[in-house]
Amino acid sequence: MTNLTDLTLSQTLKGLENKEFSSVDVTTAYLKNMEDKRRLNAYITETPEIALDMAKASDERRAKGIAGKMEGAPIAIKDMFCTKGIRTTAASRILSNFVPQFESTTTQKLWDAGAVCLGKTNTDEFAMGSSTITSYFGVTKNPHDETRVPGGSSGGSASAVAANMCVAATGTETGGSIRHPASFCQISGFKPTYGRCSRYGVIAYASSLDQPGVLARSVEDCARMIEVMMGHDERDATSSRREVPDLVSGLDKNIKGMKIGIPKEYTELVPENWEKALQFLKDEGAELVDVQMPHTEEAGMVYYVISQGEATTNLARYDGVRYGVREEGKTLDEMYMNTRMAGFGQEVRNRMILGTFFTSAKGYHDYFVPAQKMRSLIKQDFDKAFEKVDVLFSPAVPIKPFTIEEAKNGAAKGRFNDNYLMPSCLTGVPAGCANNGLQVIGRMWDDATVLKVLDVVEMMK
Amino acid sequence: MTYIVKGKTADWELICGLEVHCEIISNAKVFSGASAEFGGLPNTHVAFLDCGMPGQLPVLNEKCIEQCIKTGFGLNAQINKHSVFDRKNYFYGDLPTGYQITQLFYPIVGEGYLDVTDEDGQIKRIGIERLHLEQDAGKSIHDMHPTQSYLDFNRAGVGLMEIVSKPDIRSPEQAGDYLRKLRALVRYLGTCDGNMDEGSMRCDINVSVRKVGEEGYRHRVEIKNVNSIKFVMQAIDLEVHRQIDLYEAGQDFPQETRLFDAVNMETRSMRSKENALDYRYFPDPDLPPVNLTQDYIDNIRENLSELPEAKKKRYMESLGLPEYDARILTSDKETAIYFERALQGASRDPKKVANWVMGDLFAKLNAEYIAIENSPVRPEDLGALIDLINDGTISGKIAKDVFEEMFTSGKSAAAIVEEKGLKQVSDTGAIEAMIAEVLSANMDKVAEIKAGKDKLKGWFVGQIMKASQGKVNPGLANQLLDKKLSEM
Amino acid sequence: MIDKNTIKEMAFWVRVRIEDDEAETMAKEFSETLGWMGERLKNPEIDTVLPMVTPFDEEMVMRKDEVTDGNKVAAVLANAPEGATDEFFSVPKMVE
Repeated sequence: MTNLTDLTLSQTLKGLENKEFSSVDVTTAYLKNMEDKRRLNAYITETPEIALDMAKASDERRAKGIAGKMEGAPIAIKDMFCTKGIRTTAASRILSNFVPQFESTTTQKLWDAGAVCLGKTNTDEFAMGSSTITSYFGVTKNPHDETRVPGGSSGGSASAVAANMCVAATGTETGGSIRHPASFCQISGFKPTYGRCSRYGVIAYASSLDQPGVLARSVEDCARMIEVMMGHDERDATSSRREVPDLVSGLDKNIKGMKIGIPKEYTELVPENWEKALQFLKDEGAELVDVQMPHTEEAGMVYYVISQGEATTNLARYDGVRYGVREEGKTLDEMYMNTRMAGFGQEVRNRMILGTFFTSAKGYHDYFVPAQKMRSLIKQDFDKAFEKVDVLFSPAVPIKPFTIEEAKNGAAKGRFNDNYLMPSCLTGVPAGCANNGLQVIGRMWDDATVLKVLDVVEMMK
Repeated sequence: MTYIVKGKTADWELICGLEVHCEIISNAKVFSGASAEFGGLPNTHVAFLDCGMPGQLPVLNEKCIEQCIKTGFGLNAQINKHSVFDRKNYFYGDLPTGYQITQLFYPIVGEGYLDVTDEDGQIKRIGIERLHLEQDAGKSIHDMHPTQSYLDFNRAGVGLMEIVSKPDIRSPEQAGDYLRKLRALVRYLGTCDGNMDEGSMRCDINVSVRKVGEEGYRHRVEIKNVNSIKFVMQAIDLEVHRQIDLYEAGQDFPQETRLFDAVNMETRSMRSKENALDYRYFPDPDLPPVNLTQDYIDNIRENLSELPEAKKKRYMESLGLPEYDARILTSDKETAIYFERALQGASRDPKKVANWVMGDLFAKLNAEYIAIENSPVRPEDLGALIDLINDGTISGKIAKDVFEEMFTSGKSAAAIVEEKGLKQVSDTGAIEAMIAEVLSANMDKVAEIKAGKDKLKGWFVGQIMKASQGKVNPGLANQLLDKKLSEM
Repeated sequence: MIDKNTIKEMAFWVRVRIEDDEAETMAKEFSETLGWMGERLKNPEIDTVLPMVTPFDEEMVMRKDEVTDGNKVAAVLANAPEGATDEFFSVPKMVE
């Protein structure tokens, strides 16, 4: 028998369907890998008993001829998704004892489709970062080079997928937190249009930017899993009522005649495979069109202002009163101070302090509103580009993963250089990267085309 | 009535505006599916959103929007088709998310007004600045543990309308009139129960003073959370005098937030930290803007019940009631409902019904602290009583006794009249016999009348009424007495 | 532009502490960032557009006025820190 943990999600589902192996078999194999590779610190919480129970239940369903779209597939969940009865921490000390009594909509949809939960993966604290080094539960390592970071913030998920510690994983993006680690760990990642996946039960970082998504070993796997997670949720007022497109069957490997835009601003730094990729797309019959996205450079600044501003109020609820770790104090304010001082890491505290400025009367007027206007200009760049082309194509993160050392001493401070990733978060458009580090960005709600093109991009070896 | 406070150095006037928080009547809370009902066992009316759990998101209850619009119409105000929710950020134990969802920049209801009438019937127009929709906070209980406060989030997330007046109020009485009028309005509309004891209507007061004739405004002090109309009036008066005393002593005071202490009858400063706060308002990214269509708004307007002002006008114009009566009868929804039900049916005289309601009924209800909607005399029964007077079955005097009996026993007027044989005697023969008897027993007084002491006639009528236990029609008795005397 | 005391005040607003020297450093760095951003935000183009609050472009769906939640005290209090009772959350006495 082939090594079960080498299979893609599509292959795993196929094998389960053909009764080549059971969900318990594949789950057990992943649990073994998780144990063997604990040094990578990809998981914050492993849930082996729950996984085996779910796998058994899945096998029973399958025996009865019932099979959901993810039936029996063992997956990992970024520890930003609340899972009922399973500790959910956001990689923060302040939530290190928090056991939600409710389930996030997207994970519920995955369980309803038959997926098996292996555990909760590491992330930067409250998803604030791009290296997964700010976690209270320690640094996650890149399985391809353990001296290097996996990227972030969904670094635990990326590392777990790349190291065969799960077949696929959920992630969240606020400023590139899926595509960044996917690129660093050489796997595929997809962030749908803002509003496609419910944010209910996902711990908020910056509400107008946060969007759940997936990390997997192939674009096809991403399509399979995200299709299950999408859909309207009446518990999220920013969840779209648009019908969910059939994503998997749309992967027809045919991009003949498609217009693919190459934004000049996204090619200032390119990886080795870039020229080859352009030729590959032409060979596949696509028309490459140069486009300009003149406000790209402002994305980092806009992100800095808006994400910190929103985060500072989203994180106000962690006050030691109703849940989480409390540090006592004589007065209410003293208790707040002690709790939040001990509960949050320095990066999170710093972002909250600065975010306070951007929402203060003066900061709001002088910076927050102008940043929101700049955000509109960035959106206009996309609108104009999409008048001419069907999708945009560019590298995702055109640099080698930095070392853990570099990340820790600040040499890799990434706040202002994720400009290939941030604009699509600010504007909400769907975007993903293939396991060769190249990304495709699409029109609002046109998630299907992004995945279709990415699926072709991934064929390039 | 003008309210001018004579200081040592000058005459001063009050500049006052009120911010009234009205808990919206709805089944569920404004952003969660938990019950909005008052009370309940601690933390039972709580969804995960209401205790600020991570990942919980607000979804707007459409009823709360409808209630705000209705109230907006009652305030003659602009209904804004586009409104936006903002976060107001501060830390406090009873605030589960560290921010309150409210509407700062684009409220659902804009400018309007409320006309209030004072004791003398003078109308004063109080401008409305805005009405916006927001969440209520939870409750903290301080007396259950020596060092701890306990928190109950049942109230957290109940919808609130904050109604902000312009600084048009010039006397404590006017503030009282405004609050009574506003309370009546929201009760009419069914948008808030107006119950200040249970805190479903609460008031913050903005007070400043200036010398009569002075332009512009001086320092403003906000007095928080005053929970009765009487206290609002007292707090204003106290604060006015405090400010004047300070100005006249040459002292300045900060623009600050104070608390009203009803026990010591004073206002005192809240912690200065609270005063320095920047609430860091910004649009809540979890909630898209509210965009309403004209059809939606028109539909609410069309289904609105008759507003108090319109009702008052109708009472004066169609029913011919004096302004005073119309004002009193429309001053709250329950009184108007009672009056209209008592008026119904056998074409009763509105003025007579009004007199009974405002006279005997109010007196009894007030004396026994009974709300009009719980009156033991049902409006239909009061109407029937008035009918009995009109058709001559009983005298007005007997009617008063019958009413008393109705109030205690809850029986109908007809039943009481029947039971106690109170039917008015209009049989001339019977009355003549009674008169003859009384006259013959008091021949000395008859002689006095003959000698010109006309006043004694009244005494005789009284004797006749007494002998008949009040059942004789007094007009008829008078007439027959005259006739008999002239024959003697 | 932003001094140490402003940083300390902002830290209090979000209820965290910051040491003097850290606040000093942060104030210096943040002032530089703000200065640089201020220049960039002077871009006259921004006056041609409205602020973008969210990418979400659909009309809001409201909930019906129905009680669908609540009556789960145990779940609500399940994660409450020590001091809570079966009915209430508890905090150090709030005094006014």
